[in-house]
Amino acid sequence: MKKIYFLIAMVTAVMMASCTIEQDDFFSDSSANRADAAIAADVQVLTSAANGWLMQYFPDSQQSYGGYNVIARFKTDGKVEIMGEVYGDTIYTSLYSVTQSAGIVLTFDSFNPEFHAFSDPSAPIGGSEGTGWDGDFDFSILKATAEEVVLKGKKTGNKIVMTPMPTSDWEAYLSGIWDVEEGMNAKKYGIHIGGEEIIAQKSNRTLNMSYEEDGEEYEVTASYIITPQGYKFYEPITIKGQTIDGFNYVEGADVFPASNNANITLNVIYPSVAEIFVENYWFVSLSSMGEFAAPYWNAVKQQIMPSLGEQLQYFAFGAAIPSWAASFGNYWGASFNSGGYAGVLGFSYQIKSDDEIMMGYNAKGNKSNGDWYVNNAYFHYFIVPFGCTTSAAQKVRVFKITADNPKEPSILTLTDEDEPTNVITLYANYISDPLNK
Amino acid sequence: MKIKYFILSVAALMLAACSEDALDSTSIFDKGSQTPKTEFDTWLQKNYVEPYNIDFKYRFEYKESDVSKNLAPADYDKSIALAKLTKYLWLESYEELMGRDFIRTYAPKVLNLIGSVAYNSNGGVVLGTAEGGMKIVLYNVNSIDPDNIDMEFLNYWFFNTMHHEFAHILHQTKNYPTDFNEISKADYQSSSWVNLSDEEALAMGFVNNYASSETQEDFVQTIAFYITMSDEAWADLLDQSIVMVTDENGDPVYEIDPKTGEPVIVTDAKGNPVPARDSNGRIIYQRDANGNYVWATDENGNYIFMTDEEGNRIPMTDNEGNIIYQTTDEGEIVYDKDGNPVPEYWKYPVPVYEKEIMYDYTGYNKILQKLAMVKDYLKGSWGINLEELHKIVQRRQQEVAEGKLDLKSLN
Repeated sequence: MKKIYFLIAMVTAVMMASCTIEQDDFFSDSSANRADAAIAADVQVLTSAANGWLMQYFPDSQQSYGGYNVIARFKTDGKVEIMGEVYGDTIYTSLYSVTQSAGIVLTFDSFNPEFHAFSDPSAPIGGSEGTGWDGDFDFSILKATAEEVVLKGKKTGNKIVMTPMPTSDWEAYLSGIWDVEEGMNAKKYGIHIGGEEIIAQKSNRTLNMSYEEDGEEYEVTASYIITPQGYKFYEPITIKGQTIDGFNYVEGADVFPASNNANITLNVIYPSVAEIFVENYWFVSLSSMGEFAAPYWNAVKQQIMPSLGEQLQYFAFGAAIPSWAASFGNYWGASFNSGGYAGVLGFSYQIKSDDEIMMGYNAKGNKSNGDWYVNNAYFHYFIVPFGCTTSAAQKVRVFKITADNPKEPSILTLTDEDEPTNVITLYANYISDPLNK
Repeated sequence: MKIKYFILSVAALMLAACSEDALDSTSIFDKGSQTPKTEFDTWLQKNYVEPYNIDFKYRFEYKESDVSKNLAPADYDKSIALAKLTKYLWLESYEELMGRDFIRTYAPKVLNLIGSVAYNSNGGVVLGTAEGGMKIVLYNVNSIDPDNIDMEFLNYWFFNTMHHEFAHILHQTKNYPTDFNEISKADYQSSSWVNLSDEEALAMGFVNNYASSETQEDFVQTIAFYITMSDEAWADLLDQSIVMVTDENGDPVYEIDPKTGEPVIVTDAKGNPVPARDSNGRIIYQRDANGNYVWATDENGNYIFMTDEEGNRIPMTDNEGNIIYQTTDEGEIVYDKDGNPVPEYWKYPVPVYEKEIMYDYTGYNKILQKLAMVKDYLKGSWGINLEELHKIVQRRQQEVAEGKLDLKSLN
């Protein structure tokens, strides 16, 4: 009997041993099922915003182009409708997916012209071929609630925030954004902070500041997106110990307070008349030439044009006409069209003060048929009053510039500082057939 | 007995109490995708997965893509067009010739579509890539225009790649005879194939520059080109593989008759020499050192005169219609015995004959030799008649070019 009890005991012991104690699962469900539940929850959030989501999208890992508003409505059938600032007035439909891949990932996985404009390597909106604007379309979902969805770009690591669209009128919302952009637009600002002014240059949607503090040089770039309230920075910047989140738009104003501190302001710096002159192109005609200039223009009109058998269609002076620069490179100087033949007579310039410019003919800058018309048709006579000799050599002239409206001039007057009768009037508007006007 | 029963029942109890957690019957790999199916997905299930067991990935997957490059996903509608084209031009072409099991067995299991081009750091672009016969990546899908089907574009970007990769799968499954590798043995370029122009490659006996990289690429490229190129395009390609032999000045070198040492003259169908013509199509005549025409003579060395219908010689006239008379070397008019001036009569001038230009057929012969070997291999190892396959694909390409395939609807 003892043996048998022993045997029973043994068997029981063995049985017990092989039968490890039941342990409660740490998680209530398998990882796969939990991932599925998480996906379902995120999809639920994405598809629930009645007006869609407003995404503050920043392409490029350095956010060097700034941020752009993208409005997206995620639908339960796996489609997403997108409208944004690239094309503005069209809703493009494509597909999205929410999957498990090192966390929950949202992918815009079929082509959407609006959304993929930021990532397409063919560079549809700029950047270099092969890279484009280096934007993401694959995001980790960091947070998804009815109030806010936070995404992280897989390639850039950029944090992208989506909030429910406040209105169903997407087009009106975007045009509101553009109104703010236009209202705050300037090439150059002064940031007024603690009694000092720091210059900020705008490039795409970034503000670039460089300043000195305690003998150290600082360079700060702030990438911003435009909201109905104004400029909102990708992340707060710190200048001279003070933090700035962005600047608020004030309609009709040219001073914008920082959104978190009204003592700091962003002040529009208007370009000087000299800058306005060199950055635009201006039209002239025979009648816009003063007492000194008129004889040179008349000489070409009467003695050259009849035998040339061409009509001077227009004559512009200043920055390159963009379509011309696109075909034969950038330039600065006189652009003319004679009988359908385009030509450029190059000039060099130097801004002497806010309203003074020094300039002279520079034949190296001639483009297209410029040389031909100098060599064969005395066209350098047209530019004698601007800074050229009758033998087509450079003559440096210094002009005083005045404008009809300094903020947005449509007429500029150049007055030669050494030749008081040399007064030239320039027009922003196109003038055709300038030898008869 | 009781005790034994007791032991058994205890053991049974223990076993029962010790039930393990059942394995979940669902795989974790099937999870993680609750993405709703599109109509296209349903179509693909019926047209790709069920018949061919091919996963046609038209949606961008980060982990399937080349993460070192900036890419854009494929457009939905353009993916549909490419799916229909691929099925019609590629899968069904093989199926028509070889049956479904064949293509189902050997076709790559994944086709991955990318909307944009993939740019290399050197500025070049990637046409397509393949991974071990399992997956083919096709780029530039967004450039397909379903309304303007351009077969040349489609072959260049997609179908050459597909036939190319499929041929790789075939030769990796059943080796081809190493004789093939001997044909261009000395000419393979390895990675410097990029420095070779297509023109130069043809002269060397490769269908294009990429084929010159190595033997296996040469092998599959020959197959892919032959299948996708029309008879006309293939004939053009062969023409371009024949190169005119030129001297150091770039002038043509002529064939020399080894017996006479003279250039070989081109002859027409009847064996007559063919006169050379100028750019206006006029026959060029021989001139002597003084620039005068050389006149034809008969076997006795006498001039051959032109005659009118009555057999009379025809006097020459100048532009005003005045008869031109024979003159002596001193310029004096020649008179006959009756004292009449003797006219010049029309004789036959001797034309310049066209000489046989020397052509180098090295490239041409090698390409044909390769084609013959490729055909033998496909026939012998696989029972694939390349000529038939070429005809099937050409017929289908023609139909596509004529707009007979609906590239827009899913039916």
